[in-house]
Amino acid sequence: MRLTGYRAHMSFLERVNDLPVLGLGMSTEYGAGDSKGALDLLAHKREHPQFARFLELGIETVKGIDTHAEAWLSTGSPTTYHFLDVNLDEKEDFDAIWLAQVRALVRKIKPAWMCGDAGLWHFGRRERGHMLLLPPILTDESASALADGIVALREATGLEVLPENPPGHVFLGDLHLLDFFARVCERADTGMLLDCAHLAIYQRTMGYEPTTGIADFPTDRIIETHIAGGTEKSLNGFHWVEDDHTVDVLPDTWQVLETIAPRVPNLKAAVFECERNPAAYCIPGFKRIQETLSDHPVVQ
Amino acid sequence: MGTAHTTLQRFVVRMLFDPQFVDRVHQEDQIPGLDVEALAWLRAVPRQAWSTDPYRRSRSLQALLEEFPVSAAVWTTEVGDLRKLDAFFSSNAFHICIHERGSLALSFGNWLVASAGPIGTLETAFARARRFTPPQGQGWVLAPGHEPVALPVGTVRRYLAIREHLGGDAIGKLLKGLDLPSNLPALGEQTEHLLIEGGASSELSIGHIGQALYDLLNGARHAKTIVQLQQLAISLGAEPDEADTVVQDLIDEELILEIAS
Repeated sequence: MRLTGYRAHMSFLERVNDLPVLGLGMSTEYGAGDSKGALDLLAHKREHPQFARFLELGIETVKGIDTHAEAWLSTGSPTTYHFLDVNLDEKEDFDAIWLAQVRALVRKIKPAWMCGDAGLWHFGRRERGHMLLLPPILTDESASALADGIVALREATGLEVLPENPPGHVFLGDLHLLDFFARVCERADTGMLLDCAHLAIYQRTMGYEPTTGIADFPTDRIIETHIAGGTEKSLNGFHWVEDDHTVDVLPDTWQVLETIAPRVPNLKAAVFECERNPAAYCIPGFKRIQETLSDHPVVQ
Repeated sequence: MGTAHTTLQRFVVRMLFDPQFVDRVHQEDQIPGLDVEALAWLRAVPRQAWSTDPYRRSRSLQALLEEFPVSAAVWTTEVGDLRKLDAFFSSNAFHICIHERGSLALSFGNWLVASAGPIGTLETAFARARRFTPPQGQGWVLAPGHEPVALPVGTVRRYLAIREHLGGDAIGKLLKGLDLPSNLPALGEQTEHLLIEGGASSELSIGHIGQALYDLLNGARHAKTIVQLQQLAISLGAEPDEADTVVQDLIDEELILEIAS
């Protein structure tokens, strides 16, 4: 078992000390590197190593990893495993075949941890045509089910599993999203990946200020953070933000990052999600993240 | 909240796909499966929020049609514009599928059979064989990836002829109005029994089998004991002293397998 793996006898806030500091990194998923003008992972690492300390691999087991990810792995550089194909709150989703595929991928890519949006990645069974991404139902019952799934996946893989707050524009339930994830973290005894852009989308959708709820959230549970651009859209008087990973990060998202920056003692990794954009367009975003976290070990 | 979160999530999916269902949620006093609180939450969402992705249905339909190209061709010839298959996403079949955590492709196939006939049945059997869906129950059951199917004689030849006529980009051609030739192989009065087998890749094989084997495999869709399978074999014409051999052959050929639960 890797040293960074899950140790069942310790609490998360003890285990977190075993997790490596990955620093500022980037993300990809199958085929993203083939997009016209997409970020060249290895070139970015050569030219701006301070912005490419690790690679977050977005993975559907049915697709595996592409040649760009293979090339990264061949350098021996760090990775994290971002799942794109499991509904953590559905027991039926943890079938033996999927788990075997996950374990095989974990052996191959040796990620520091697993993470991923804790939402509905697919309706019904895991099959072609069923994919989407919806946020969880924000209720106490749903938080418990999600926590159970995190524990199950952690025990099945031996890795920490960090739930991420998903994007969306339909949020249901009687809990604020941060209250929901605080319960998930406590019940699963885990940390989380706070996506600043997703949180900003949620706050705006629900009519809250960008930083509502952060003061009461156990921010020592935040191990990783994501920053990404989004596009404001309108339809017949309804306004929403599309989480399309452009390099145009919205002010709300920066405000979230600036608010959490001094409150995240256990932050180990930050990702600027800009995988489908040319490097030159991405650099300003990486620099601003670096500046915002300049007092934090994650960018030292 | 009395409504389980997984149930509520399925309502969200149904509303994202079906504006008619959004209307129902807003107009009807009660929606089966939703308690008052959950219904209020759904109604509090701005109605435009359910339709921010104008291509959700067409994108999903495209994916479905790619698995049912020949049925789609039969539909366009015998029923009408391919785009009207979009109605699937407002059908009971669709809503039941989402609510019961089913397979969209299999539900679509079963829905399509009503108008695509035996070709629809054949392509739905292909879809089932590709999926290797883990069986339920306890005992001996038809192995995933195997589909016995009974069709009018000539169905496979007709299917292959249409498939060849369509060639690549079948859906694109159908949308542009490609017609089927008039000299397609005819369907006969009698029935042919087939066994479709899915492989490790997406390749499928089709073989003819006798009616007795078809009935035996079809009977094994629901888990049975060895004795029940032997009794079924006898009822289908096997001699009592050969029934165990018949069932053992199914096991040896991996057509049935034992499941614990």
